[in-house]
Amino acid sequence: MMLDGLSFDLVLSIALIALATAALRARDLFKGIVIFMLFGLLVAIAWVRVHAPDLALAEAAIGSGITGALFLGALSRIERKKQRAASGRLENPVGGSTAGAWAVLLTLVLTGQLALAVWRGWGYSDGLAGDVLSRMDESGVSNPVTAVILNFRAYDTLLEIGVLLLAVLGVYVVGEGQTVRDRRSTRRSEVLETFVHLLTPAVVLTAGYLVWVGYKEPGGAFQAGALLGGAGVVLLLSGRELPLHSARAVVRIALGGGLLAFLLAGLAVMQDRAFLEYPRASAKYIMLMIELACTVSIGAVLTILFAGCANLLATPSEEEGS
Amino acid sequence: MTQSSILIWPVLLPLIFGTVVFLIRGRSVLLLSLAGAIGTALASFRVSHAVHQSFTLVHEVGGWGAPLGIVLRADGLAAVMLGLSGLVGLVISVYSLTYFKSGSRKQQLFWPIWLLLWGGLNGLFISGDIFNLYVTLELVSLGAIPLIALAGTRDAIKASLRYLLLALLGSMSYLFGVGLLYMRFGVLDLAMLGNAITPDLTAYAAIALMIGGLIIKSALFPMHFWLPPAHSSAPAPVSAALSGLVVTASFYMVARLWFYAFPALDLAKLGQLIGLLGCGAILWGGWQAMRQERLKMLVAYSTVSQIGYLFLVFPLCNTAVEGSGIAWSGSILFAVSHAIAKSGAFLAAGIFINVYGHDRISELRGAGRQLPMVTFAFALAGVNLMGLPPSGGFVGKWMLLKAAFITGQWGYGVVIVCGGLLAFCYIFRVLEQFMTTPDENAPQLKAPVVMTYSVLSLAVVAVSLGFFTPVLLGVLGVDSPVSLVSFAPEALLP
Repeated sequence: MMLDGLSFDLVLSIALIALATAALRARDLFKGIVIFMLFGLLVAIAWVRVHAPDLALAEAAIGSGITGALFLGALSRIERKKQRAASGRLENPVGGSTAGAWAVLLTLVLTGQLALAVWRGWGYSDGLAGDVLSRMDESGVSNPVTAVILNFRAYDTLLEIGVLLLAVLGVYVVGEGQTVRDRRSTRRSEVLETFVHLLTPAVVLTAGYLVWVGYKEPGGAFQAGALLGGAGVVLLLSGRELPLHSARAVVRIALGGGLLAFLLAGLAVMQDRAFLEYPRASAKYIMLMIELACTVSIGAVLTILFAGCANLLATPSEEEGS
Repeated sequence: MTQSSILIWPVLLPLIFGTVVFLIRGRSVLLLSLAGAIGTALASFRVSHAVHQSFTLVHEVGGWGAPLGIVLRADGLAAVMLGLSGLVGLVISVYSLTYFKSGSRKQQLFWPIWLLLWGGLNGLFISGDIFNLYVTLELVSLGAIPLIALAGTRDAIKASLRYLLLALLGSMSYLFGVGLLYMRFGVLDLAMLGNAITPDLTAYAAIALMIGGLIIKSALFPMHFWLPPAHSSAPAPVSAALSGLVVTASFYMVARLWFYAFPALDLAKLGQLIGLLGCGAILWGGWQAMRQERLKMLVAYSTVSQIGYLFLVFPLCNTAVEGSGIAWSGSILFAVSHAIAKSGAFLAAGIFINVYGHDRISELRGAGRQLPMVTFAFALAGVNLMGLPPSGGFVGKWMLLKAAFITGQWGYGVVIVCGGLLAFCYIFRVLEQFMTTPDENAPQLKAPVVMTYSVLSLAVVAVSLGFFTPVLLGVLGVDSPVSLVSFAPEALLP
């Protein structure tokens, strides 16, 4: 059994390195992206191997799924641009060599650190795992990851939700102002239609379940939001008209609702306590409410990021806005 | 509500108002944005005042306390920075009321991004946790990037994309360092880390990664190349926020780590290296600023140069040498006065562009006659950048100079003086054009009133900051990491 695990890990590690190399070396961008998505799935398995199922879920949904969709969306746009412009060369704004040098440096540092740890048998710190476990009963939930993300370090998560909102605002800044002449016509196919019909409600249900189960088992707003985002991407790809523009109030509420709910929840408990210090009796429900709002926001953010990549936000030229 | 709750408001108010002005549309956007800006500034001043009156304020978010939870701390340094962001942020907000066309797409996008960015800045200044610092830094960077792109020009979008990639590189590097420190020492709280850290390879690797990442973000020479295109192509209030506050924030983080989390380590050699980079920045930035054709590029290169001065604190403030604490107060004072003056200079440049439609220095002849108030404000900001008395730039530079003498590092003194001379040259190149008599039939020009007076207020504060040095040092002295020289006028004498 022991040996099996070890050989599995060995194969996994070798496959990871091979896939990473292949993704970086792929001449064809499309091929590179597909290999990258495969790499993401294997990373998710690696997280399972080190007993971090929450991370595995997030990695599979965001690292592989959504990121891959974003890459593919961007690629389709680059290809169309290339066809239009005679010079197909794309500018590299920083210089891959700078980024490459940093990547090599970081890898060397990490490898060196690991080698040192093994060689000297350094007692690396357990970190705060002990503190987390000893105060779980005060947190209102029984999944330690959820306790950290939504209670012990909820302030970090709140600010991260703010970062997501900023990311989407950035997409609006560069994406909405442009105009498109050739709105892509999507071919509808019977198979895709049926698939979407079946898939969408199932995804929404699963997302809700992931939020709910997050208080005791792996799950939570980020994974659920990523699922919703994935559903949004599929809907967009099938040619559905989703509200995407910041001019639509429903879009803004979906995007900003998570941050606002988080802030208001933090404030509401603040009479004689600190910011975000939930009363113990209602902690679970407050966190659940925050998570639901954040799930919607994360899903909306991811969908709009994809729409921005795939040039679905741009205003058609005849009704050009200010 | 506990007494320390006042600490959270400079972060909460801009976040709340930022989200709300994103949700709503119409006329009330401007009104609520202004209310948010005033509220944020007042909340920041209140914290600064409270710290000055008594002591370091601590707020344990979530009530958990360190090491499990996140602790916010406002000591003297944080209080000075909060006051700075309150002042500069408020003026930038007032200026922006009329800068963007009313009801335009740009205006609608500017306010939520700017308020969230401001909240991130305040959060960064009061954070007492190295991972939370990373999150606030992300909030700041991801706010700054779309704001540059908001200018909408090809140059601006290109510059913002380059900034995005470099900022991510910087953040990743910092985060990597945080990971190493947590793996080795098991804490994220700054104060606890300061006690737990021991000099070993992991610690030094982490420090190199974190400071390296932050150096990219603060555009310290030779990682400055992304700054001039980004800061010069952004809309004027954004340039002001970036050069005044955002760059200062990543310098602040280096200083915070250096003096609060790593004091147990011997970083003298790294300090010398950073000092050399600082010298390179002062000279190269100043030299490039002299050669620029466009006003905003000149001001942006001036930022590259002035950033160099801030980083001189690391070689000059040596706790082993008595009296070198003056480098600490000098560099913070310099950071404050540079932030105010540079925001003023960029806001003034924005008015020139607004009125003349361009910022080519050679074609701004006679601006002094046509736009006297704006020119006056620009000149006052220039006085500060050159480091003439009684500006804060003068006092800061003088203190750094004195620290160079006290620690016997004369070379830095020479660079400090040379940098001042370069600043003199590039500022006077602009002022000379402004002061030439315009053509006979040059039309009378009207500067936008609100914008002009907001610039003027910043410039006046910057130039008179020298008089407020005792107050600033009083605040800075609250839980200072180094013993500050008690401020008396004679302490400034060589």
